[in-house]
Formats: sequence, C-alpha cells, structure tokens
Amino acid sequence: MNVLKTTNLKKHYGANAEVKAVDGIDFAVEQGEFVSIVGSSGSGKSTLLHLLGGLDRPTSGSVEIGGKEIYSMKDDELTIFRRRNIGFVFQSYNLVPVLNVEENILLPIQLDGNTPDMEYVNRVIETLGIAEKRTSMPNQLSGGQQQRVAIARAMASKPAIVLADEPTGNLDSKSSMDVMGLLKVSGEKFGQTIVLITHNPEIAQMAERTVRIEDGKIVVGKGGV
Amino acid sequence: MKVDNKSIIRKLTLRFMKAGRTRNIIAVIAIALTSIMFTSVFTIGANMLTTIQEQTMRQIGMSAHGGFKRLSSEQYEHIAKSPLIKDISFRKGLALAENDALIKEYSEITYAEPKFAKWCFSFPTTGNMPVAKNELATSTLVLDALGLPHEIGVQVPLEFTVSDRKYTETFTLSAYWEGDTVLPAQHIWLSEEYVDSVVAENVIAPTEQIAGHIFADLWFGNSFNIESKMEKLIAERGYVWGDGYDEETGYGTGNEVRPGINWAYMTSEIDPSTVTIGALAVILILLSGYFIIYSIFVISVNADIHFYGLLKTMGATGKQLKKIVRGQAFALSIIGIPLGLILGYISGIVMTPLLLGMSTLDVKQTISVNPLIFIFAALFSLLTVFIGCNKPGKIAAKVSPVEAVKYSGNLKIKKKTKKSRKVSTLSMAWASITREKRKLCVIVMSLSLALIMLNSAYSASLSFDMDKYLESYVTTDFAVSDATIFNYGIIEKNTDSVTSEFLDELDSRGITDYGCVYYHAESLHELSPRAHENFIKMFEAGRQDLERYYKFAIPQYERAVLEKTIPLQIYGHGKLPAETFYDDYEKLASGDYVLVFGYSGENMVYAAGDKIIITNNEGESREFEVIKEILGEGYPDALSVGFGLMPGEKIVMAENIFIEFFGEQSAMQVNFNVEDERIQEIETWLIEYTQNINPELAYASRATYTEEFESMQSTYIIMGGAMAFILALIGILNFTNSTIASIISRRRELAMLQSVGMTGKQLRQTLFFEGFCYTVLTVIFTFTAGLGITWLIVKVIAGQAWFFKQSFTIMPSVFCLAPLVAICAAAPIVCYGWLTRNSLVERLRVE
Repeated sequence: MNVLKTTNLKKHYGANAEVKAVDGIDFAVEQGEFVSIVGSSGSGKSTLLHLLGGLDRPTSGSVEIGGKEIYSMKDDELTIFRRRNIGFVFQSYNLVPVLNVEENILLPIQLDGNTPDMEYVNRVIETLGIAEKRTSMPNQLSGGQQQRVAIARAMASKPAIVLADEPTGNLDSKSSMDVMGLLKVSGEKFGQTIVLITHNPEIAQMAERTVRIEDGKIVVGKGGV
Repeated sequence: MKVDNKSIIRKLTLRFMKAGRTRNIIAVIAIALTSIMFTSVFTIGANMLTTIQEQTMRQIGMSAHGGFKRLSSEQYEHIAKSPLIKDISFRKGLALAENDALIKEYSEITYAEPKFAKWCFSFPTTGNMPVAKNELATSTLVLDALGLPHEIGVQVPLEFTVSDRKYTETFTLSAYWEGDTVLPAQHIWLSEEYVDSVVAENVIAPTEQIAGHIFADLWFGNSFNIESKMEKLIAERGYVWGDGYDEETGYGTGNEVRPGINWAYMTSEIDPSTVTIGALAVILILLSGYFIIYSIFVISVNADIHFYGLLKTMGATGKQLKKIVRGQAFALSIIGIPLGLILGYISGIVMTPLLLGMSTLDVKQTISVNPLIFIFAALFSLLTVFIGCNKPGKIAAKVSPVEAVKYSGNLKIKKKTKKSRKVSTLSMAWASITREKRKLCVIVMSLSLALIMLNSAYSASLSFDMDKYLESYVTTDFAVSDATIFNYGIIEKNTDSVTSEFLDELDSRGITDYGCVYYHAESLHELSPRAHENFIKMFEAGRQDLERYYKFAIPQYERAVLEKTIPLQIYGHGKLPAETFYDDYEKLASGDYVLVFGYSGENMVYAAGDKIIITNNEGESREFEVIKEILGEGYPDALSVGFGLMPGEKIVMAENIFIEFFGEQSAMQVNFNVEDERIQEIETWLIEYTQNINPELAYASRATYTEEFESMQSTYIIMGGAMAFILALIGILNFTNSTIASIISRRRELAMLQSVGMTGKQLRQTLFFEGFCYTVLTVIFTFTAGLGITWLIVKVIAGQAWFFKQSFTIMPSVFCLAPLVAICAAAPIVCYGWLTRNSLVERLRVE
C-alpha cells in the first residue's frame, strides 16, 4: 500500500518559470519503507521534500498522503493534517529553544490537544538514547543529541510518514553514523515510513531504496524507482 | 472537533515571554506609559467635569435632577407617589427677607425638610434645623450682613411681608452653616409650624409667588436625559407642562404644573472645544501607544519568526500562533496597566488644579475617585495593546513554514538588481535602515511626535498675547474705580465714585502720573440725517451676524431705525487714558472735538469730519466734530463702564471739555502709573484702602494680571512639556528597543562583515550613521509635515482664547536636537559594545 504518492508534481519559480525546481515527478513510497533521495546542491531535492511535507504549495500536480490529496486543503486544515500525519527532521535540528527535551518531543501532540501515549513515547526516547536528557534544554545538548531529540519528536505522534531533510548535514561523521543507525533502527522497530534527503551517497546507501534527482527530475539510480 | 490545546499554548506563551527579558521590560514600560497617559487624561477630564458641574449646581442653588415650582400640598403628595421618582423633598415658601441690612444679601424665608436643605447646599453644619416656632437657621453670610455673631441662641430680627401684611419678628438661631457666595440666594429656614401659622393668618392672593406654595426638588434613577424623564413623570401623573396661572387658585390653569430641570446635568453644556481637546488627546495617546507596542512586538516576532515557523511546521495553526503573540502582550499588560493606573491617577490629581486654576471659576476643588476613570483607562490601554499586537500576531500567523525555517532576519528584498556603487559606511547604514521601511516609519514618526508636541505646547503658550490680555483689564500700572465697574455681573453701575478726595490722596503719596475717565450716557441720542443713513447701512450689513448671535437685539435696532435715536456712551478722558489709543491729546482738549470707535472703518455711524450733536442734562445741545476714527479693537474694555449697548455708539472727549459741558462731577475711574520700585508699596496701600477706608472702591493692577497670565502660560508649557516628555520617552524607548533587536538579529551579518575585513571602527561608524540617519529623517519630518501639524494643534488648543495671536516657534525642538542625536548615536554603539564581548569566531557560529 502506498503511504505517499505524487503525480506529475511541479514547482516552478520566476515569472516565466525559468527555474524548474521540481519538474514532473511521479514517486511513491510504501508503508514501512525507508527511502533516500539523493542529488547535488540545487537539484531540487529540498523543494521536493517541502512539497511532500505540505510546507510549500506546488505549481501543479498532486501529493497524496494516506490516500488524501493534501493540496486540496486550506492552510489551517493542512497544518492540522500535517501535525497528525507528518513528522519532520531538519538539518539544523530546529528545536524550540524555550522548551526542554521532553516538551519539545511532546509539542506536536499537545498542539493537537491530545494526551500523548507516554508508553510509546518513552520507548522512542529510550531507543534513541536520550532518556537521561529528558529535562535538559536544547542548548545543553550536542548536535547529535539534538538531532536525536528531533527524530523522537518526529516519531512521537506516530505519523504516517517521517521526512528528514539532511539530518546529518551539521554533524561529524561519527555522529552522522550514530543518527542514521538510530533512524533506521527505530524506523524498523516502530514500523515507521521514512523519506530522507541527503547529498551524501554513503548516507543514502543506508536506506532500503535510493532515488536520484537531477534538475528537478528523477533519474534512474541504484535500486530503481 | 473541539480540541483542548490551551495548556500547551499557555506554556509556549509563557516560555517565549521568559526568553525575552529586555523586550518584556521595555514593553511593560511602554504599556505603563500608555495607561499613565490615559488615566491622567481621564482623571483630569472627570475632575474638571464634576467640578464644573458642581459649580453650575451652586450657581443654580440646586443639586437635584429637577423640581416643581408652586405646587399645592395635594399636588405634591400626588406627584411624590410616582414610581418614576427615586427621591423627592420640598420646601414651603413664606417670603423674602426685607431687613435693610439684607438688601445686598438676597434671602428667602421658608420651611424646608432637612433633605431639601442638603440638596440646595444650605444644610446646617452647627446646630439643628428649626422645629420650635421661634427657631431659625441661616448661613453665616446672612448673620454677617445682620452684624450678628455665629452663635447658637443669638436673637435674629426678621422683617418680611405676606399678602400686604408686614411682619417684624425675632427668632432664636438654632443652627447655621458656612455661607456660599456663589449661591443665587441665601436661605433662612423656619419651622413648619411657624410658616403654616403665618399662611393661615392671611388670605393668600392667587398672585402670591412664595407664601404657602410648595417647591419640590426630586431625583430620578439617573441623570440621563432628565428632560424626557420629567415629561414622562408629568404625563404619568396626568399633568401638562406649562407656566400659566389660574386666576382663582394661583396654581396652573387646568392641570398645568411648572417643572424645572437642573441644567447642570445637561451634557450638552460642555463646550465643544473641550471635547475636541479631550478626543485629540485620547487619539494621540492611542496612536503613540500603538506605535510603540506595535513596534516592540513586530521586532520581537521578527526576531522569533524562525520559531514561529518551526511551530507551524510542527503543526501549530495560525490562530494558535496569534494567540501566543497576543497572550504575551496581555500577560505584560497585567503588570503594566495597574502600574500605569496608579501613577496616572496621581499625576492627574496633580494636574487638575493647574488646569482649573486657569479658569476664572470660584472653585471648590473636588477630587473624583470615580471607578469609571480606571475602568475606561484600563479598557483604552488594553485596546491600544490589542490593536498594537494585532499586526505582529498576523505576521506570526501568516508565517510560511519554509520561509521561516530559512529566515535570516531581513524581510523580502524586492529589488532584483542594484547598480554597484562605492560602498561607504554611510551608504551601508542607509541601506540597512531602509531595509525595513515600516519599522523606519514607525520610529521616525514616534520620535517626531514628541518634538511636534513640544513645539506645539511652546507655540501655544506663546500664542497668548499678553498685551491683548492685559489691555482688556488694565492699561496702566493701576486702575481704581467703583467696585460695580469691575464686576461684570452687576448691571447697576456707580460711575462717579472716584472723588477728588481720592485724587488728593494720590497727590499726597507723590503719584502724579494719573488720568481720569468720566462717564455720561445719553440714552436717546438723535442721529443726524447722514448718521441715520449710515446706521441703516451698518444694520443691514451686519444683519446676518446679529441674527446668528444677537437675535434679541434686532427689535432694538429696528426701533432705532424708526425713531432715529440710539444710546450714546460718552467718556471724558484725561491725557493718560486717552493716550492708549490717541496721540494728540492737546488737539482733543483744544475744542469741541470727539473720537469715535470702529473695527474696520466701514459702516461707521459717525466718521471723521462728521458733526455730532450732543445734549447734556440741562437740555443744552452742542455740536462736536469727529476728529478721528479709532479702528481696530473698538473702545478698550479696561476703560469702559463694563458694558456696551446694542445698538449704541461710544465716543471720547477730553476731560476739560467733558466737565465744562456736563458739569463738575466725580470720575468713573482713575488710571495711574508709579515708579517700578513703588509698585509693591502702592498695591499694599490700595488693598488696605479698598478694604477698610472706602470699600466701595476696587482696584486692578497690571502686576496681578501679569501674574495670572504667566501662570496660565506656564500651565500650558508644563502640561505640553509633560506630554512631550512621555512621548519622547516612548520614542526613545522604541528606538532603543529596535536598535537592540536589529543588532542582535544581525549579529552574524556584522561578524561576517568583520571577518571580510571591516574594522571595528568602521563597524561602529556604520552603526553610528544608522542612528544618525534616524535623527535626520526625524528632523526632516518634524520640520516639514510636522510644522503643519504643530500649526493645527496650536490653533485647536489655544485658538479659542480671545487673546490668541497665532505664533510659531521651533526653538524647543532645535534645543532637543543635540540630546536626540546623542541618544540615537550612542544606543547602537553601546549595544555593539555588549555584543563584542564574544569573540568573532563565536559570533560567526551563532545560529
């Protein structure tokens, strides 16, 4: 079953569409899959991820998540959909500096007005090895630790899909491997669908399937489309 | 679906707040300042309103909402039962006091219920209201006039007439109170038993105005629209509003009653210019409060935009983000507003007497602690906060998740390309302050507002023309005349009280520089045919104005046209007073010459060269020649008898001619100058003389009026200065806050500039120029559009004074320029100093 499906997705910039950041991408991800998207700088992979996550609006084409066409929704509707169905991990961690680790992790659930499934959340926290840092503030943590918090936050609400944008971009190689390992392990453990963006082929290889993007288009890569 | 996410929103709001400590302090100060200004304006307004209202009530002699004149007891009982009335009380009339000693102190003799006595400001403070037949209560003014001591038990003689029967009786004083000179009449309270017995002894004629009649005062639930409440009451009781007489009963014809309304409660009595000033102040405060609260929150939202965007990616809706921003503002208001209410109330109380002191009211100061003041001030402050953080809230709500995650502080740059120019520190400074145009505008506006206010206050105080003000009261160092001449309220004037004895007194004190003014009225002056023609022309030309302002005078004009006569006010002038408007006194004194007065020289009844025939008391007529028209302000008020006539002309002749023609008489007024060092001495002597030696005389002195004028002038400067100070504080706060925020948000940018080779000195120079550019723009705005605004404000706040002379100054703002430049230049540099405590590498790494 496809968790995520795009149809002829396009995002053009400029008055005459000079910049074709995403140019007709058809792409699908199955339940529980761990897919990496690779491409050089400016290949359009970040734009694609923003479109997949409902952060931006496409020029044309559609994105379905869990069978729902997300761009037919209004802004606030989309926001609510996003907080229930999509988890994000960013290169720059993007933790809320005024909230501690646990509060950061629970934030998306609480914004929705729900009571978190603490048993599940605790398992995620333990799996990611940040249980001792629960009450620390983000500025007390190392980069790798911050990124693990961000991953826990993305998974805490049991979203349909987790989107990770260069999650290791700010980390040294050892931390990078740690984070990737944890991402992969927890994905498998909790049956979480993950789409990862990276420009680093080594990192990309850790996924089950790799998709290569150049100039806004998918090119056939290792593992096929 | 209703979701409960309040707690997380509250938590985020509080955490965000705690993070911005500096912002919080500035915001609390700003909110407090806003509410200080609101509270003081409302306190001043409420106090002035109640004081003026109470003043009016005392002038009317009534505090109740309304009342009825001359009711029968049956009518009173009937009306008192109405459910529409909240409270009612009455007095029972007897007569007016006719003792010779009370001729100046108009006093009514009545019985009153204690409640009624309270309602008309005449309730005893010592002793009890009369109960026994021989008891009496009255004010100290009546006792003083009768020459009696303020002591319970004193015997008080009274003379009065009821239905042609004269009574002379003696009563025992049972109570008294401090008399109030403002009241229209003094009350003498007797027992009900005595009043009833006198009324019963007499056959009361239906035309009797007082004896035996009930006068009722009453209160409604509230003072809103008393007139319609009164109409409703009358209709409900089955009466008709009227003022007719029934020949037989003396009461209203048929079912007519004579109600009265206390117009002290009429809100329409507040003059529109006061309302305009009030409204203007409220708008100004709202605007300046809005400016700062808005800019504080725009800056803080922009600084935190990254996190708002992040929250949006995490799934916070626009509404939730807006709530976070507004929640912070309201949380800060909880501290700021109460602080402002307290400080504002104190400053309001301090300023009210200053303001009331400017008016000529005989004021009993009342301090109002109306809770409405605080409620309104708090509401208006909250409103300001609400609209101030509305837009910032929207900015946060509208944040696009993608943009916010990438946000680097500077807003969208619309320019796509830009010509390369030589980069200088000044051009970089200019580029960086014009990056955010809206912020630039807000800061420049709020700084300008303070300067504009300062200019306005000072210009307004200069716009009061002291010469014009003094001229209307006194033209020389001192003027002495009969007390009735100085009192505009008195119609009967004594115009010959300055006797030769008084002039001898002046001589004996070595005062030689004096001149007299004599007065004679010719009530039926016959116009010459030519003057009659002119009079008709003048009447027609001025008809529109007459109809608008002096409608009552039109019949007199029409009669004057028919009968060819008008009243003539003739003044005889000594050299000193005449020289205030005419130079050649020798010419005037040399023959049968007169001066006439006019405004523009058009439509003069008598013009220069005309002959005018004047008749004296002996019936002897003489022809005078008009030698000059004195144009401009008309005949000076300070030298006048205290009133003019419509229609009517004023002419002046020399003292010697006046005496020769009208006969030897005492002067109406004497004007004199003394050496500067003797002013104090002479004033002391005049006080003593007019109080103890000849109380009929009164004096006016230039020194006292000058003092009065200056205190009024300084009130304007103090008030305007205070307002400008608060506005300046707001402006500077605004500027400092935005500087700090902008430097913090540009930390990395500045570090980057340094890393590519900009020296610390160049960097500081850039920052200095940024502050400098703000100052320059502020100055440009203040001295262009700001001048227009100043001109307008001056016109509104001072233009209503009759001694107004538009004047204009920018000096105060020029003096403020140096400190302004200093602050604007210092703030960025100080901020930068804090910043550079960290090393360059650290700063470059800052997220």
